[in-house]
Amino acid sequence: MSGRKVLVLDNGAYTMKAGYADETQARIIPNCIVTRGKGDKRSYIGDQLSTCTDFTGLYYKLPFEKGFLINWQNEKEVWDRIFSKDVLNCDPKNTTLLITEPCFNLPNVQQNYDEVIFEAYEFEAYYRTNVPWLCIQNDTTSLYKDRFCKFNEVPDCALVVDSGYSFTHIVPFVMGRPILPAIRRINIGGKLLTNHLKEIVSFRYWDMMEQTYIMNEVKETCCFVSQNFLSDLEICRRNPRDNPILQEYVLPDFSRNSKGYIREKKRGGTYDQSDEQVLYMNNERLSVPEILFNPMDVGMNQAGIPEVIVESINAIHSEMFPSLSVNDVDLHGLLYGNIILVGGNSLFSGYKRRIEKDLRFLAPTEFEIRVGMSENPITYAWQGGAKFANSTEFNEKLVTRAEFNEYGHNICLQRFGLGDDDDIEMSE
Amino acid sequence: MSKKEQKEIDEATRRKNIEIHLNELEKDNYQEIPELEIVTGTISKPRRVSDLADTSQHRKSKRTKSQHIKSISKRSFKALLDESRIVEKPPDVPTYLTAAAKPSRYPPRKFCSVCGFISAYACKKCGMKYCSLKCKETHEETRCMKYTV
Repeated sequence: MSGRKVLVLDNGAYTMKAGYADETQARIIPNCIVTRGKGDKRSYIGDQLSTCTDFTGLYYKLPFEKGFLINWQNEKEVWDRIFSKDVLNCDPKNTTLLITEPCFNLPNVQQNYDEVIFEAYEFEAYYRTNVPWLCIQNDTTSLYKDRFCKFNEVPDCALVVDSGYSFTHIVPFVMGRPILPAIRRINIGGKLLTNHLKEIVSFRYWDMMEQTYIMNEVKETCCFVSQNFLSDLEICRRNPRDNPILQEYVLPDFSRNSKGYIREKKRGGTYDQSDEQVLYMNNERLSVPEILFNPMDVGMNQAGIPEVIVESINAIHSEMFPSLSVNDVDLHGLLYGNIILVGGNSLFSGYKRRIEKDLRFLAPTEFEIRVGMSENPITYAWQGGAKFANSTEFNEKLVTRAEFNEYGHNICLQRFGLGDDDDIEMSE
Repeated sequence: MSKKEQKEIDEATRRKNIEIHLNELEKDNYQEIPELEIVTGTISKPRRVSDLADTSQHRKSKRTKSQHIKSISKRSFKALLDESRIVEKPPDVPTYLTAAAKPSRYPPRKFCSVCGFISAYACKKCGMKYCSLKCKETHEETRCMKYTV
């Protein structure tokens, strides 16, 4: 540790995962300001949302737009709150910051990161990187639960599928470096799924257009990734008594119950006389997460996750790595065999199995498909970050405030580059 | 009032409507946040659940901090994307733009816009799908030509 106090901040568009590098667990804090509007001017910043008791009709003020940190005023409010004594008790002047940014962050936005972190907050030192890279700092081989590999180091090849709030990224790594020309982005994330669910539910049953928070909970509770979408869809057509997919979700009324729940289905013909508001979740349960696999279902003209994994791997050729004596087949085989799933959407039940199943169908038969997922795919990047923050490499790569004051933004470009320039050369 | 007056919309308009809908799915809130302090800045700060009382110590640094932050947070994503000029980079340099996944190799599936099940029919006017006479009726009453999917 060399006496450094390192704050690891996985600054996601929906939640931030924050904690000091010597801690074992990250805190998950909403990265937003929630206000009520309509006469009630209270607002909840970051963690204060947990003190909220009524989640109807909330408005979100987010620092992120389309997955990029755009609104720094909102971000400042949240950061001021979480760095305060009440939450993380962080004094930037004596703290080193390890922060995440989205893949292919815009260069002008990166400059804003550097300026805000050094000039506005005056952190002692800082390092900026992206989520997939932090993920592979973990002992990823332990994810696969097979006996063949036990070494505790970064694997030669890995492919990270990070499906978050704003979008989904497929990022392949060779020798610990991201292969930039093969990185792919699908513009489908958890926000779009929640909004889509909100829309179809509002059209078919209750008007939930203003109830983003509640519908997000419904999504997290009820939705699942189907293994056989079209035949499961047929099951949804059946009589309710004979339909194992149909669920009755009792909406919260915030007087008796503050959290919605799935109601036990009534067997007999007696109708419930209580005034519970019930939302029937039928084909919505599977057709919402299905969008991750078929974005065209909502008109997004992009392929789904398994197809894009294949696209990404096929964009990698052995000529990109003249120093390594490998052929395409070996490289592709290693990538298919080291897939890692992270991000909140990984928590849909059946997600991992479906990716395995679809990939088996799409990938050449000679390759073994091995997909790993941490028990907590949301904080997995943070865990890797905490590990990285304790390494000597971290101390070499970070930029101190003094260095920034002397060399400016350029030094950040140089040190945080992750060897991008090399990769571009390789690809030529 | 002949039937011809309700003319069908062409492929380009249909695609545009889908784009509009996709943008709607990107929104953080269904409606704009009502009367917030963003517009005027310092006049009335909203009441916090637990306001922190230690602002006086760092007042000086905070003021410059907020001025600086204000100056960089006015632009939208689109403006920043234009400003970054990554469009002008040669196509073999990987950027945000080149990383977008390609369309699927498989044909799109067709789902009823009303009930969500597989559908065989499409509205002659707006191109939205429906699966049965019942859904067709609902579609025509509520959604046809209303720029939502």
